[in-house]
Amino acid sequence: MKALGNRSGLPLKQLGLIAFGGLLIAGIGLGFESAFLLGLAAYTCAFAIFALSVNIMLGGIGEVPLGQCVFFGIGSYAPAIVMQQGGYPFEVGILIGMTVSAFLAILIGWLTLRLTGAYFSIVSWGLSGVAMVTALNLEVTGGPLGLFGFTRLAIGPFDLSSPKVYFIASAVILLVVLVFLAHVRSSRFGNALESTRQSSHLAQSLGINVFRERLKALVLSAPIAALAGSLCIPYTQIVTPEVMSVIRTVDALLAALIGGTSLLIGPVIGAVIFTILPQLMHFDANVKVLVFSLLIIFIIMVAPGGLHQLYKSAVARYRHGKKERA
Amino acid sequence: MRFWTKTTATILASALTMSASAFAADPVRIGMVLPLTGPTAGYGKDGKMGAELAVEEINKAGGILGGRQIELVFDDEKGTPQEGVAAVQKLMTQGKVKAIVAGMNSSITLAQAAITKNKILHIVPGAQADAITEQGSQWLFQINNNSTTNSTIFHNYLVNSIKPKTIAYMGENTEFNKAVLQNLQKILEGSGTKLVEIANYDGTTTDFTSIITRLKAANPEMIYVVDAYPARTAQIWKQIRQQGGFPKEAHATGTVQTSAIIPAEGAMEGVITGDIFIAEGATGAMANFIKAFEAKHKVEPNKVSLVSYEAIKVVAAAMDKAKTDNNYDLLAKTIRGNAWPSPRGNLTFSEIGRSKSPYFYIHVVKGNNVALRETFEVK
Repeated sequence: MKALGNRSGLPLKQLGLIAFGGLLIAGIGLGFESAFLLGLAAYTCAFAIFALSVNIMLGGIGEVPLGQCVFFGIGSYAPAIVMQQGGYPFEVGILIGMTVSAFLAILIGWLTLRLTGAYFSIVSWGLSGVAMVTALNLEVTGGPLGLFGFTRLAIGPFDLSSPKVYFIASAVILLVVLVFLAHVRSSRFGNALESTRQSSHLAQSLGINVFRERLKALVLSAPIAALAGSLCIPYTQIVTPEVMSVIRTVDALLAALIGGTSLLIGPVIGAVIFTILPQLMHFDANVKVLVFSLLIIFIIMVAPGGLHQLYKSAVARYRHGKKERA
Repeated sequence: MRFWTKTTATILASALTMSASAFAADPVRIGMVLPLTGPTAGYGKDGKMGAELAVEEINKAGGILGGRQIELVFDDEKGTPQEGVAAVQKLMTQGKVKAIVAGMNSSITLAQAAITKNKILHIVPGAQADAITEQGSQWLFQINNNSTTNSTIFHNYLVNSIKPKTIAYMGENTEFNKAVLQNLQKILEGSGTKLVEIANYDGTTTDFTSIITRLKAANPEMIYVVDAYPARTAQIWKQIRQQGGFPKEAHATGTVQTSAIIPAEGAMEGVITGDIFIAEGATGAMANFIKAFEAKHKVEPNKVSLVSYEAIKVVAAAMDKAKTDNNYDLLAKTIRGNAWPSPRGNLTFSEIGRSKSPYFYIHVVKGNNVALRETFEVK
């Protein structure tokens, strides 16, 4: 559960972490009553899922997927459209969004993943622009004003209009996604991705089909981004073309970078900092933007590998000091 | 024994008196969500100034509900629905506010309205989309005219008074633009004016030269620009002027502020527009509002300042009249059932919570501001 290349995690340790996650969810879900805090925590979970999806590309294959917001947007629009136009339930919309985004990822990946680095990022960015203009101009997406006025936002018997239920559902889904991604990382596919990221030429010489592995990574990340997009609806209450904005991807990229791209839960740590910290700052709105931006720059400069790097170096320093004292 | 009884009674009586006076002095907190940062931060600044003036006046006059002062709690919507919702949720749960005043952007307002529905009184100061008051929220009220009302008056004025034979239209691809265009097309039906060219652009566009060239090629008598962002409005009109301009020129209602006119550096001179507010020639309550605003903030108020001022005044007056700050059914009934004095005259609200401005003014850009061209009574 730790990092790519370090797969010595014991099942017992994993079970312990899952149990800890479960306890944390139960603690927050049952201990907090504030609709604001619970709603914000639920949105943070949804945003963390999106950051995890972005990190499959960033930490997994070393690409900057600026267009990942397209899948997020499809995940937001699909339930909104099927609820408003077809009268189908929210859950059906979530599944449709995930399926459509996976198929679209095959198509987009087929066209773009032969490119690498800045070329891939720019093309991917361009696609988000196309998606946004499409959403702005279609009748089915509600045009510029978007889709709103949802009557039932629930997953099975769980009514997401209750902040408590919304938080517990989002947090449990986040935990499931984390467990799933931990397994993916320790699988053969995970090994292939890691070798592709480290050196695509070397991976190719070892018989790994680099293009196929990169495509698989995109197809894996797309439905996770769509799931995040769907889970944001009970919080935002409206789906506008802005969901396809590249700024959303940039936020998720920053969350992954702050938390650490090599650590599985790195994007989750980053998402927590990114969404909750600004709400706890009680400054003037303009000062808040300034302080938060400077803080992000500071974190990236001090810990370019993510915040967990600070913890690691503190532990190393402590051990070194202990050895010297001995 | 008697001494102790007396002492206990005195302590109890003074404690009760103190708690009663503490309750009377307990301020009524009103939450106000504005775009304080982001591309429309100018609206936030103007709105904040208007609301602060209203609170100052109410508190100076002795407050509401038997001497309670009003305290404003501001939060930033940052121009996105998720931040707008977070701000409203935060004010409702942690800010302990008794009413929400929020809504400059229509999409964000719709998201916020879903949160406030059946939970708290929500007054929308600036947002204009018709859909806002069509969501069945019984405790929501819209202060500004909706876009259909303003556009209908303005388009009828263009067709009947300015009488251009042909119009070329350009606007940012937003809901506001869509509503204005549909209204224009409806009003032009059967009139002597023809819409010869339509150009929509997205919000990231910075160079309008090719659009203006295309519109000029259609040789229209009038150009009609629909854009609500001051900086871009200035840029568009500068580029129109660089290409020689058009014989008749108009800009969408409710969007031309000094924040667009000044950076346009004279390029907007003569452009016809309209709004529910004008400083020039103001008399009575409006003149008093302008004078008080200028004395407090050292700048001239605009429409955004006015509707924010009115939103706070309506909330406070309704609470005072209904003698409650949390019986929202009664507050909503009181707002619907009465006329509320404002600088524009008496404001009344329809059953769905939509207000109608008593007057609508046709403006023409002159120097660094707009000048009055004609006044219409809104029916």
